Amino acid sequence: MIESLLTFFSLLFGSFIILYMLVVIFIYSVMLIISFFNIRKRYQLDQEGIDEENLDATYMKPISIIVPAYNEEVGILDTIYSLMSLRFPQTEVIVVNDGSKDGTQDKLIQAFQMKKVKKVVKKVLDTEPIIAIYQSSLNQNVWLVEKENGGKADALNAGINVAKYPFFCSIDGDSILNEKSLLQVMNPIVTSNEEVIAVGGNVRIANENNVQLGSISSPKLPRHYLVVMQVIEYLRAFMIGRISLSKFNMVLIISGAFSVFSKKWVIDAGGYSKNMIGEDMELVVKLHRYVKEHKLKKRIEFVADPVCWTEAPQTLSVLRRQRRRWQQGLLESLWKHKRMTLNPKYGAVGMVSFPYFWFVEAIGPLVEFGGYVYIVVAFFLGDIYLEFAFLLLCLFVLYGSVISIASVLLDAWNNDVYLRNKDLARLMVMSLTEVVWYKPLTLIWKLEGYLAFILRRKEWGTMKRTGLSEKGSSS
Amino acid sequence: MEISIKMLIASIAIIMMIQVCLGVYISMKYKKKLRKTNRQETYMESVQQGWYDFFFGEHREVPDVLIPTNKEEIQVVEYIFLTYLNKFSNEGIREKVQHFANAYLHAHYAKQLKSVKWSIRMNALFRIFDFHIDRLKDECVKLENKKLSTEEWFQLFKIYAIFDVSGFLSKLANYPNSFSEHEYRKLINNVPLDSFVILFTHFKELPRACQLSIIDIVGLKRHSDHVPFLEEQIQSEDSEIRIRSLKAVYEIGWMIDLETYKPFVQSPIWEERLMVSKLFSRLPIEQTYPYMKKLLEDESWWVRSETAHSIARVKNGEDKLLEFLQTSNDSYALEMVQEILQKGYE
Repeated sequence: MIESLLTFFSLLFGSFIILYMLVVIFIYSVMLIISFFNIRKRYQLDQEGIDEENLDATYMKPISIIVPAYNEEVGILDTIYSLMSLRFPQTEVIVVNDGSKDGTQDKLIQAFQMKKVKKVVKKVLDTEPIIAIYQSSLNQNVWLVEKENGGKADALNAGINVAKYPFFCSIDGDSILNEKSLLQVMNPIVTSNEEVIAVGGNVRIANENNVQLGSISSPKLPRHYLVVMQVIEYLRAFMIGRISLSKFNMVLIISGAFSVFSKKWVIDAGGYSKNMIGEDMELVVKLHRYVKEHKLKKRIEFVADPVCWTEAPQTLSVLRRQRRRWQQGLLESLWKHKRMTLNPKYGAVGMVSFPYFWFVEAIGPLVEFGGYVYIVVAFFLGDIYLEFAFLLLCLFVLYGSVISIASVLLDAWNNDVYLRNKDLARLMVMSLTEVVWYKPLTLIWKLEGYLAFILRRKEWGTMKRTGLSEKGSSS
Repeated sequence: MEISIKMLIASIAIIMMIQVCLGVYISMKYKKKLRKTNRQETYMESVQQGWYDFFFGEHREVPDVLIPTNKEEIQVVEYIFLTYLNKFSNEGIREKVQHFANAYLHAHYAKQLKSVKWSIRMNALFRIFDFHIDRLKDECVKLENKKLSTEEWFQLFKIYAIFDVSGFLSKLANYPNSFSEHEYRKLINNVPLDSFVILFTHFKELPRACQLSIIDIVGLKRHSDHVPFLEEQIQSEDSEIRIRSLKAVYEIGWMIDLETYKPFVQSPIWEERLMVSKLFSRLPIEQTYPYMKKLLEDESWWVRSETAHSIARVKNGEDKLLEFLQTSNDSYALEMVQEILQKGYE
């Protein structure tokens, strides 16, 4: 009796996981198809002319670039050089030193000949006190804000207070932009008559690439196996998830590494939330919420063209910490705004995005982990369980590797970033191995994120960087 | 169960086979593209000097060797033309490009305009505009009969704006959808300066976003003949039109009449007060100080800040700010003035 009950429940559990996987595979496939059509429409379109035209200050709005920095001495100079060489009519760069304990500030002061200035700051968002403000003698538009430590969100809020332009762009202290990225990311805002209030760009991984005074000359695919897996992951997330969600104004995550916001709306929505781990997702959700609650016709978009290069973790321990944080941040935001879920008041965001994020991103890791455990256990139990396990394994391959390869292909077809056949082959082969090692690893880390969410752990989320430039080039 | 597993394995195998084929196809495409780029580079090297001589020389007729014979060569010529047009604002070059494109490239673009692919039609429209190919104007008009995307309509309007302003305006007034202000600006900016009078006559018929863009562009063109038009608009009932017009007058940099603008000091809208404080920096501080003092003590931070900057910009302005420091007891205003005096003005 007990045995048959046990069999029944374990088969039920197996069927549940299989059903879940089928649904998710279906959702991913639909998203993939939407992205494909979206990309196909613009295929071969000559974007050059539009960019050139936008370079004219008559059309473009000025923008403040905020770089929050906490112990970023390795990459900070490259980032600022890259920002100074951007093609954009009018910008100011505000580095916010959030109480770094390393040489971040000294390096900046020295490299840009920063001088302390007295500047009245309108405190529209509440932040930890600002200690001093410096202005570069080499370029009047480069500022350094020294403030007491308050976390990344607090640093960004301080940057918003100091910023003088109506739009701001947040960029991580270790990121490099292509020279036209800012123009392209601003395009949806200006062409939509500011109906678009936030735009996220595409983030690519730059490890092992050589950065000389703020630009990457010829990108190559990193060799490190862990980094290659992340390249695939990023492609997958950007090429599939975000393009299709953006089409219907349902994006919940635009990368904190590179996004542009309209200052007014961010301030109205209360700025970045200080006590949240995933401040970038939280802000986007808050903006959606504000817009819907005030019945405004505003959009948040993701654009695939403008690229921001960032450094990905190269060791398991750093990657683990990052993933744990991401999962924790995601859960915190979803939980905080749980009332938006399936609430028609919030339109597509409430009815589709939220359920999607709960179902795929939040519950997903639990179910997938259950699936992996099931496969291992079933292997020992044999018999009917083994068939179930085999079925599940096939679905994992479909869900992981096949979809990843599809994203890699879609990206290769659309962009010529890695113009070498060897690279394409490597990406495809590595996608195949995803199910066996990378996926289970990230699952465990995500589960740790769950734990952290329940225990409400806090940290700034620093990562040890190796820097993108060759030794001595700009540091 | 067994059947479903078999089916699943089979379908995964098929999908992966297809993916491998796609991978091979894409890498072949890469190779093809590389070869094409190499050919184009060689062609570019062979014609570069010829084009330079043509653009900076006396001859109007192009030597035969420069005439492209296929699509790949046309792409190179496009690249060369765009580079010259972007780098040199020289009417002679523009005319030569137009002349050449009308003679040798129009057939290529006429064909592209008929393409079923949206991106190809868009590219053709971009180039017709860039190279001012007026010979294809009628082809463009014919395109209107098709179902067009907003982007295509926008490109069409850009083309009309350079060739036929009256037609452009009547079409724009009747266009059922509207563009963003940013897009209207791009359109209006292409209207030749001597046709602005036509814009002013049709001003009231145009969508509001277009009206605002006209005001902005008038400001940016900095043509003093246009000030009367703007001064008419500052009497508008629409506050945004008033604010933009004030800004445009400021941009033009023309001497203003204090009496016309004085009422804005009392405006309930802070943006108007801010603009008028900027405008007053065009006049001697002795005339404007009573108003500026009031604006320095304004309730809005932005107005106070702008006024302090404006005063610092004019002759004897800093003296007036020092005087203000001694006489005023408005702590917010004092803080602002102190900042300006310490830093000097930007």
